[in-house]
Amino acid sequence: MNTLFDLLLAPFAVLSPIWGLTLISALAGVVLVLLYGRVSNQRKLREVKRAIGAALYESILFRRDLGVSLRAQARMLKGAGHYFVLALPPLAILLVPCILLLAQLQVRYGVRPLTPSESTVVAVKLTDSQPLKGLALQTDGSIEATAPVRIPSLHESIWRITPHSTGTFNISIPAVEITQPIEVGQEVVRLRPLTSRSFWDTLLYPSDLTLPPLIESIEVAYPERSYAPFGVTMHWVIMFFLISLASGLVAAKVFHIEV
Amino acid sequence: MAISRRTFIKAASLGSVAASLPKRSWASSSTVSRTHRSAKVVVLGMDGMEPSLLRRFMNEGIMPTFKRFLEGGGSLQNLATTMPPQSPVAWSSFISGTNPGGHGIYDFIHRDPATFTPYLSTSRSSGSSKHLEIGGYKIPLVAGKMDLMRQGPTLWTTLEEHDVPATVFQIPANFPVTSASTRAVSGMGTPDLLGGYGICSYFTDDYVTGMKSDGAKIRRVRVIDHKVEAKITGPRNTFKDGEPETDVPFTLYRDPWEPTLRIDILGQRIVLREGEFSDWVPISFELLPYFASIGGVVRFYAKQVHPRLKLYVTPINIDPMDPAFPICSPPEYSRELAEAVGRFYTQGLPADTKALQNGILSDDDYLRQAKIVLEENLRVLHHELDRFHEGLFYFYFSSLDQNCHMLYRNMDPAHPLYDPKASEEVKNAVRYFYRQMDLALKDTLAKVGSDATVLIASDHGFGHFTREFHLSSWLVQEGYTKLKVPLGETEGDVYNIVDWSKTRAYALGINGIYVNMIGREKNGIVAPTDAQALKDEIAAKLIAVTDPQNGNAIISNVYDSLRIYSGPFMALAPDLQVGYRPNYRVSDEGILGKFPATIIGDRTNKWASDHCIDPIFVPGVLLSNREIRIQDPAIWDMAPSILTLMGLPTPRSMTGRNIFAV
Repeated sequence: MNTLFDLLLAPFAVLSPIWGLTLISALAGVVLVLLYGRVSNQRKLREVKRAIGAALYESILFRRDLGVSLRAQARMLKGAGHYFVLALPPLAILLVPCILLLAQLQVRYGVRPLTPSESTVVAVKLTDSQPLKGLALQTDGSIEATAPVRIPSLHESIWRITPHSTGTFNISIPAVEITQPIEVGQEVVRLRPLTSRSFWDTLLYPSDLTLPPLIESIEVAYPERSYAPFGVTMHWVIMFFLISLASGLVAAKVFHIEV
Repeated sequence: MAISRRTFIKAASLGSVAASLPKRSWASSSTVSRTHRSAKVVVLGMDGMEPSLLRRFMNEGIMPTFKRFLEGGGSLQNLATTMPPQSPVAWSSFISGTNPGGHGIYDFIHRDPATFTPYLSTSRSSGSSKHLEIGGYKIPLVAGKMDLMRQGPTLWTTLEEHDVPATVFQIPANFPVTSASTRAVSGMGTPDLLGGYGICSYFTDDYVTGMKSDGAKIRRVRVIDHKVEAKITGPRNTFKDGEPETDVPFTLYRDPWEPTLRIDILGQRIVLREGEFSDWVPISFELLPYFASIGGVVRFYAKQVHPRLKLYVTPINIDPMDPAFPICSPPEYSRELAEAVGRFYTQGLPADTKALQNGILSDDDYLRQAKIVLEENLRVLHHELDRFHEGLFYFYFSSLDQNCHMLYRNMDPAHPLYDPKASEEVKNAVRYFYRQMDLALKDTLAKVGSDATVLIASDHGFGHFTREFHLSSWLVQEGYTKLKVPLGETEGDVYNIVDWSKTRAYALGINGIYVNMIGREKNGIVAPTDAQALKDEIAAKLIAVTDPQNGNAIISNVYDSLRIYSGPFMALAPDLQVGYRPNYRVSDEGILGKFPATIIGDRTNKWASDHCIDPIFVPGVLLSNREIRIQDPAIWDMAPSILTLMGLPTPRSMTGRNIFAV
């Protein structure tokens, strides 16, 4: 999955993060709407929408006749419920690629690599507190690390690392046989902020690292990317949502897809 | 009435004072045409640069740029300073081009004659006057106020009128920032988030007996399984009945074997080694759940990890990324700076001198912090120099002033508080900071080009402070101030133990004495017609005071405000200003009107060098790459000189001269 997204998103990596995210969001909106058109019952959706429209028209036309107006409104409500039921399965199907895409975007556009001299923390959680005392972080000369803070009650050890130059560097913890790459620079690359045994963490933070038996998780606290389109600071997910929504609505109009 | 979220947040802080300050117009007035081509003028304000130290260090070869600057045609002269030679007063004269009577700042501390309440002289705040009370919360309906107390036109008022760009970084007595088109960040006088000059927090499992809590919130904590749960106390929540203190909890983990610790606070994890300061950590205090909060920034310092935990937390600085108070103009300027060079100290007195005085920080700890302050300053300096092309660029350094106050004693083995065991780094700290000023000048000269006028100015010099004079107690002893209890028999504060019906004069602030005047003071007893005779009598007696330890006179001059000040803002001036001889100054107790039992004693506090004495002993310095053509330049000459240099008219309120003309 990581390799697939690496290939799909590679063309956008040459752009600045804000433009890359904008283009991906716009394309995602179009693709998701097209997909929705394929997996939904468009004929039934159209019928229900027409019925809702007719009921709305009826309720306006006969607004002086309370009985007719109320019945029309009841049909509108029923139609809306029907529409919801029809839309739910395709939306549930779309949720799968959506989550996968968002997770992949999170490790590329949600967080950014470190810059030289910028510190962050690396935290390792073990399945057992026994080996904690012997944990040591090894780095090459490009990254400086503090002594660890080991917390037996949490089975956890944490270091502060500070890179001195740009590039991809490996830090390793020989006692538990793990090596973690650290990205330093300006490029949009796939980061590995969290590798965990937890299903949800694995889903939301795709990583290709293999955890040795003693390790529960390893985390690098990469900084969040900040986006300020038109001077308005916003979380990247909000930006993705707004752009994909706009492009999706346009695509629906162009391709005559009921959404 | 609709109240915006921003209004809520601002109204809640510092007693609702920050709310609804009027939005400033950032764009230059369209009615002002650009009729003057501005010259390039750079002013490096090096607070507390002492002429004798400058010459000494130039001779020692540690300030080669200054030396070359002078050898290349630059001028160096002593710069006469204000009475009193205190930074807010002197820099206000720099800003206004006039004596204190023209700007209304006479001391760090002023008093309200109607209530005798002392307050910080450069700004005043007042909370919201109308509230809506809902279920234990007080919703402000009218915003609070925060006012700059420095009066009169400024140097940059004229620059703005003539569309000359200006950047003014951290000049004292400029909070809240009120300029229109000048880019400015406030300096000395800017409070921390608690509203004072800076209150740090200190967490320890050690015994804290003997440690003064003045200027610090000292918390004894329990370390259980190498874990500590604690809270940083924030500002009072003026949205709530009773205005309880807000707080932010944090968890600290200590490595069982190494001198390292981890702090978890508001989703952030900080790893520190012993002896290390953290980066700035943003924190936020909730005022109204899910609706209003106020944010600031702190640095943690792992003073000691084992065997006892000692964690220092800086005063909560206003966050330059999202300032809760008007520390800059335009409103986005501090954020823009912080994004470019990182967050920086916004507190007016950045290095925590109180923490060193209280024994929370050692000389070495303090020096680490002082170096961080300077590093941040230099980053901003370089950033601004890179984009300075025309107009005025003023940049302020607090380092010489703060670090001479605290560490000059360790440079001089003759000082009674010289510590022979101090580290070489501490002993050479003053040299280090002078050297850094030299490097700052070097970078400045390299970047501004030869067409710029470069001025280096300090507001006063420095001297040792080894003996302290309890002026308030002396006034009691001489019968001018009458107490309800015998002298020294109470720890009572300021004026609750003063018998105003029999008090003719009282002291407040660092140099001031006030006559208890009928019609001005709340319980005045001295007729205005009798005031002059009383002032002359007090002055004559003070001049005659000698130090019983060595027979030396303590005071060289007592200045009558009516003779040394002129201008429209005389109302708050002390009636007399006491000019001490070198080595002497008023005691800390005397500044806020406490009454110790003795009149004079040894200075035992680490704040053991000072400048709040007779200004004739502590002139500042003025260096210029243009010839200074008058013989006795003064700090109030600077604004008129800069304006004239730029071909601009000098406002009538500026009484200073042009130093570049005969």
